[in-house]
Amino acid sequence: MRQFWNKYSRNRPAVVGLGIVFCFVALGLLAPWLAPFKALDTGPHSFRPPDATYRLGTDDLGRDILSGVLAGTRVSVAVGLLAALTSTLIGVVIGAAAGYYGRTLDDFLMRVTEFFLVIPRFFLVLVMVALFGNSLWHVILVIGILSWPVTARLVRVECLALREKEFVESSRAVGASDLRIILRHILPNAVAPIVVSGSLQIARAILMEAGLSFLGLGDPNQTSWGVMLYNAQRFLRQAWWTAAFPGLAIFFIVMGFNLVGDGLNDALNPRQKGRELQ
Amino acid sequence: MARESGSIWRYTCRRMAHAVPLVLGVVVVNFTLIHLAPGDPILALIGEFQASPEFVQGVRQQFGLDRPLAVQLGLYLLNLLRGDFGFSFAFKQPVLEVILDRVPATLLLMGAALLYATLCGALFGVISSRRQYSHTDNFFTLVSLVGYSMPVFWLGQIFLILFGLTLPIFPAQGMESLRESYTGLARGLDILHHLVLPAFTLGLGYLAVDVRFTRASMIEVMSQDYIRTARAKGVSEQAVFYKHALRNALIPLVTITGLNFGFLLAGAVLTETVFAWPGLGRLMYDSIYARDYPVLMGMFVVISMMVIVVNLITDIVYSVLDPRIRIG
Repeated sequence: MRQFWNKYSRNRPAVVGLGIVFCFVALGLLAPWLAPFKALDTGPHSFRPPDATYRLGTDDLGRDILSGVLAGTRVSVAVGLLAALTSTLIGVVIGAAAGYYGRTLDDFLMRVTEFFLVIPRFFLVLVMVALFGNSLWHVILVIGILSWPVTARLVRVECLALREKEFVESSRAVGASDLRIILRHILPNAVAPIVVSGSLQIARAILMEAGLSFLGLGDPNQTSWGVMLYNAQRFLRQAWWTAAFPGLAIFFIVMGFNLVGDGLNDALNPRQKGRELQ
Repeated sequence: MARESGSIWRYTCRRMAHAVPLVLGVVVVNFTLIHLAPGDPILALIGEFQASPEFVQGVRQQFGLDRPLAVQLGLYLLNLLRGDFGFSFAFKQPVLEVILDRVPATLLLMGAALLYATLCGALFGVISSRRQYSHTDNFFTLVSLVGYSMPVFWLGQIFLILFGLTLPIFPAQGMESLRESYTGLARGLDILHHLVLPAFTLGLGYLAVDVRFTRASMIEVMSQDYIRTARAKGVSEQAVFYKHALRNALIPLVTITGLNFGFLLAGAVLTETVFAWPGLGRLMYDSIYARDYPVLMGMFVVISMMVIVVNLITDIVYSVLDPRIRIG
């Protein structure tokens, strides 16, 4: 752990990224105490430019933008973490099954994986959310369910390489079950690529939720940055601040998670080149 | 020579055979969604509109909704093959017509974005790779990091506010000036004028990826043995760079561009919404608003087909540029 941190902290952009992520998580946790108003409460002053009372201005219904951005932090962080967690779990199960058991199962699962890699994910997510309803939980679940293929491929490759190793061979010889071998001996050795792809998936999930909300498929009962930008689109002429600040927040949080992902990649997989060449 | 072209054909056929299950998969996914959707499948097939009972009965019959699932799937596939994607109540037009009407505008936007992003991305990437860790390189690294993390629709909104409203150099909305009725060259220039902001917005994320990719690929190629051999033979540094390295370093860019086609389409849809560009994105936005599910599902099929075809073309172009791939 110490060794890992030494390596990671030498990478300045990665440390900056981690700082950004921590800031957002803290803001999200403390949002109810930091926000001057309730995010969904309408006020008497619509389209107020940023001033002393409304630090980031107000929107068409007089809602405080700063409070909205703070509430949106919770939504984005939740979407990012939960969707990435869901997709990582599915990816690990499918990848491990394909890589460990091989043959027909592997062929079949890899065909399915390839299919989900090729089809345009954003549009499938969009159709599913439109049909099944756009509550926040649906959005998280749908993004999570459709984002597993990259993880599955990574885990499969690791399993293929590890299952022939002597320590796996020997635990099989002493009668360990397949599940035990996978959980105790193979997956711990595959943690590095799983963590790296997980952190990059957080960034993608956040962007995807924002995009969906921007097209009008956001949860109307939640204040999310994408929904704020969706509302702002009609009033760009009158009120630039309704669009500027929520978007800036998306940009910074996505960059934060991307930097952390790249940093983890450099620290954990020193042999691999940047993800551009994968 | 004859043998070689033959092997290209064989490779092409193999890739095409590979694409068929993907196409069928898309149809099955869509079919499954229609049946999993809450309520009656008829909702997904018509949308939330007040259709006459005769019309609903007609759709039930056409899709065989009272027959076994396997028959329904067959009928659904048959309908799609015939180009019958259902009827859009919002547009009072067959779904496929509605969608195909919008494809050219989207392709124009994507083509423009891709063109400038690839050209500039390759150029900046090469410059970066030649001066590793210089100020220029660091600058491009920073720009590409920013471009990579920027939500494309927000970038569009900011450009729109800055260069469409505050400093109105470019038109903020639409694809043509509706008040004038330009023809010929004037019309082309007018469209081009409208194209600048959306294309620049859409391309920036790509530019970012292309810069990083070209830089990494160039650095890798320059460290290979055949480059050392060329240098040892006394080939000038210029010639080594442009003739030996650049060509090989840029081949992977073809793949990256082709494989990212789906992401580019998603970006295009979001960008169009910002600039009211009359393409698939605008249609998607309107259909979500109108709960016009047949159009949404039809769009998923059409867009998936486009992605599958572009992937196929990418594979084939790549195999022409790098014949080693065909053996694999």
